[in-house]
Amino acid sequence: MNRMQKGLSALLAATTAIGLSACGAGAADSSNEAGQAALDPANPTKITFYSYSLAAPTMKAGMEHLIQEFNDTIGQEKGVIVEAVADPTYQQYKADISAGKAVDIVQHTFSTLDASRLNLGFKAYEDVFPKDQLEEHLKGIEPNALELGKIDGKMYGLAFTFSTPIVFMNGKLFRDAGLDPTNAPKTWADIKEASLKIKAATGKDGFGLAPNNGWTTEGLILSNGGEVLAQDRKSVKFAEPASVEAIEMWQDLYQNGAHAVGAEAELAEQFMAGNMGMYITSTALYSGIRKASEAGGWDVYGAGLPQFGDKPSIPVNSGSMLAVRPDTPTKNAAVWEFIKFVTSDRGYTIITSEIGYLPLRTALADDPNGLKDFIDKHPLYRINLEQLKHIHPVAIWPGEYASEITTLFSDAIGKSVISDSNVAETLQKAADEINKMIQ
Amino acid sequence: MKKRFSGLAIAQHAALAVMCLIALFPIYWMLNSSFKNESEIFTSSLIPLKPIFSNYTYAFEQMPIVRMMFNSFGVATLLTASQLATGLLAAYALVRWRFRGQGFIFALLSLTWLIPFQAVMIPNYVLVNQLGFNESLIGIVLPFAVSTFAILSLYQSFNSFPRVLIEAACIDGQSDFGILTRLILPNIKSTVASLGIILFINGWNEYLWPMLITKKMENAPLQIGLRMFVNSDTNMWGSMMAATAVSCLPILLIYLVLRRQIVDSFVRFGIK
Amino acid sequence: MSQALETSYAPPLPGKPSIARNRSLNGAKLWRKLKPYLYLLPALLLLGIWMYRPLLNTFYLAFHKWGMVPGTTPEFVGFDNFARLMENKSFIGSIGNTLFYTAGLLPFSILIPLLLASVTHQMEGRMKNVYRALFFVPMILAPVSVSAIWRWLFHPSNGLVNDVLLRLGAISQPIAYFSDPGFAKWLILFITGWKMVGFSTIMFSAALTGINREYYEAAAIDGAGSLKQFYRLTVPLLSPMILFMLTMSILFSSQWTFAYIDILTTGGPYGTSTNVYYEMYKYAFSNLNAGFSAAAALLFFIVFGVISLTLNQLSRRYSFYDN
Repeated sequence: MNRMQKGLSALLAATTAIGLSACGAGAADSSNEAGQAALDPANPTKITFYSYSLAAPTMKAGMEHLIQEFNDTIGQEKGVIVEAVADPTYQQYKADISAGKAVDIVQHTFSTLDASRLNLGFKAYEDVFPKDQLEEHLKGIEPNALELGKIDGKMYGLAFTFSTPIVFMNGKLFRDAGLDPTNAPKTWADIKEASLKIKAATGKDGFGLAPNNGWTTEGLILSNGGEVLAQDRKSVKFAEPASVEAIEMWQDLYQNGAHAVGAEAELAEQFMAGNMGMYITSTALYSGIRKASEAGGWDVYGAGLPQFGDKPSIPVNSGSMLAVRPDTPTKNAAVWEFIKFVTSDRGYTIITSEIGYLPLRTALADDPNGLKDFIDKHPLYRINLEQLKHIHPVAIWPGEYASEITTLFSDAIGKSVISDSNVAETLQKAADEINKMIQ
Repeated sequence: MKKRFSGLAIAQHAALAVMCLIALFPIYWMLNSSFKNESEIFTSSLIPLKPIFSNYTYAFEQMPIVRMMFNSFGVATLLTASQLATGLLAAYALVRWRFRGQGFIFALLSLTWLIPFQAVMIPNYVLVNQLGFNESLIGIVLPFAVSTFAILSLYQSFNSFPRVLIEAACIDGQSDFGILTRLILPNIKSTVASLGIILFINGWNEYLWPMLITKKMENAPLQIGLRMFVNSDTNMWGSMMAATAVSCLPILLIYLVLRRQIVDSFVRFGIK
Repeated sequence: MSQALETSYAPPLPGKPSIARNRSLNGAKLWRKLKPYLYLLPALLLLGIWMYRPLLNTFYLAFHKWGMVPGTTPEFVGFDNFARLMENKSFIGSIGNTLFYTAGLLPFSILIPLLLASVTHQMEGRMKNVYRALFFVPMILAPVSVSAIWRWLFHPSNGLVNDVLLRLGAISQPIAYFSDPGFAKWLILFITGWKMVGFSTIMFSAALTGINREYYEAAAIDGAGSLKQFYRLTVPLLSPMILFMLTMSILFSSQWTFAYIDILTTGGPYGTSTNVYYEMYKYAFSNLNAGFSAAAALLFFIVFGVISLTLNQLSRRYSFYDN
């Protein structure tokens, strides 16, 4: 009974809150400060944080540390308690929003941000956080990264755990094949050649890029001069010749016998087991790969995203941003405290050194009090920090059907790469279907 | 009959043995892998050469297995009890009396067979959340507290119960409820028990609904907790298999003890 | 289920109304009239709340667009959901797969079990029960456990299957079975079937036990070989059970594959192993598109309704019984 009462009162609270925020939204636009209420350390405010990193074995400990440190320091001092929820499939927060639970902060992937904004009540930073503090806080964060979470000029997500693609290389397999891991392959043609050599010499797969990787694909398309989403975000362009050519290259690579097969998780397992020569994935896996290589007695090398001929490659970002939907002035203040902490110098020190994502406060990399020692010890990160300068945002699918579009796009890529289907036709079909949804 | 050792018989036994192997080998491989150490796990040796138990300890560290097992037993027991209780009452009413609307009620009951769970999952999900029952055993059990499968199966067995006995008891002044509990039930005990077995196994293996309702391992039945573990992309196949073995164990043990009854239950009632 | 389907359309018992009839008091009479409903109340109430209310609600949602966010109101869109469903390639593809699973499961639910049942039936002594009990083991295991085991067996780089095939030289490269469109749905089918065989075998065995042995003796005297006996005697005599298993297999195969799809492939690679029920689940809980999911559910509620009624008619018309 007690439970039922609780449920009912929560329901009432939720309905009133929604009613309030509906009228409150207009008010917040005109006066930003109005949205903040004072926090009380004696009576702490509870907020929830949904994080996929918490569900990934290689990132879990670091993310837990980050949250714990906030709760133990600033949280305690100001009166905020962050309750973390692991979200392995990026669906938990949706389910919980539809269940009427309080979902305050989400470690949100990029592609579906617009749909979340439209459907799930996520809010713009400008509407819920104090303007001057926001501007102050964003200083020092890589400007390119700040652009990523903006829709129609407003920030719906602040880049958080963030990485660019990297080619991890197994030094031992390289040397076994008579290759020099310090002289990394630069173009896709180099990759193909090296992978075939590794396969021939060691019997192990030379190269791996998971067809369901979800983001590196876009870097491939962009690097060959193609486009995924048009500039005006009104149509998709991944079925045009330059994109098709890029995917055809991958289809050929995938099917030449030296490409590892399987989904992302399986490829990661295979690489960490020392059974793959090169693996393109996110730097987020670095901490896990490093441990695996030490345990397995091999060494790791890295290189940036390969390029097509002499065209410079254009990497996209992976990872997440923080999207927020606080529903009371007190929660606005509580959420803001958490965001400030996790994207502070201290926050990024933990994120980079313990989880493996990039420090978006790039100055940290050269700061002796920051991450300098760490980066010097793991120079691999310099590759990604370098890429940050010419990074291109991963597509944020427009409109409310982002999940459907994500599936359509990745299914079309999967089909093109794995099967012998006609790439141009497959992509065109998907593009037509997506265009119908967003126009 | 010396035919036993004919070539045909041998061929038949061989074929059946192969079928048994296919049925059982995966389970054997699960047990085998669960005792292998980190380097052995990637080999195909048919027995763990240096058996270890740490996979099990790791699995128990990673998941609240005891708690989840308790949840599973809770869900399965509650489901069985409530489905039997509602089923007995309903089936009794349908056999015992003739009344207005009986045909309609039969139609309603039969129709539920055709309703796929997916056709009711969204509204039920919304309702359970409104009641505040998500993440709770009540939330998992409530939508399945009545089973038309149970009602109609019990109706069948009640129907074959001799009517004269009921009428005699009635003349003796037994109350209607007394007839159900003191006369009919003791006589169809075994039927009810075997139906109970099926309902229990169904409850134990329930998948989609508990998955929607429980998100935290502490609140989840074993199956759902295991799903989270499997989905977490670990490369720890030894402990994965250990966890899987633990999740299979209770039901395998029950089968070992109650094999005849379980098989008999399925023969009598089929599955859902 | 066995009795359930058979009795579900049976008319109410032609028995006499209850006996006690002397009391003339109006209250008692009313009480007696109410009694059956009272006994039925818990069941009907629960069915009303958890089956029929949501079914009506789903019917309502099918014509609306709703993101499942509390506090928002569904927006009426007419037949738009249905129209979009018909254009949706993934949905059309999933219908094809549903047919594939339904048809593909028949050997596992009928053909193989029928053979196993009749072979074991002729055996004397304990072995017959031992075999049947062993075949049955997969049936009682939970889908998640089963999926975890098969996933490990078929693991691309470390699984036993690839290892053995590579050693035998049957393949030159490891295969990522669950990411390969040529294998994914066949494996889902195989695993579902693997679990079904034991159950159907038991059902057919039970039905065979009920058949009079004299038929076979007579047939043997007439010189019918065992193959001939199988399709001249066994199959026709088991026809009620065969029809029953057929109905079940057709109605439920898509539900049985659900858990394996969810855990092993999540419908992939590129939607090649999904089925309609899994799509409905995705529409609702991944895309938060309740109307779309409801429209699909409604459609298949009707389709399966028609199929099962047809099969039920069939089984009434064509089954003959050995007594």
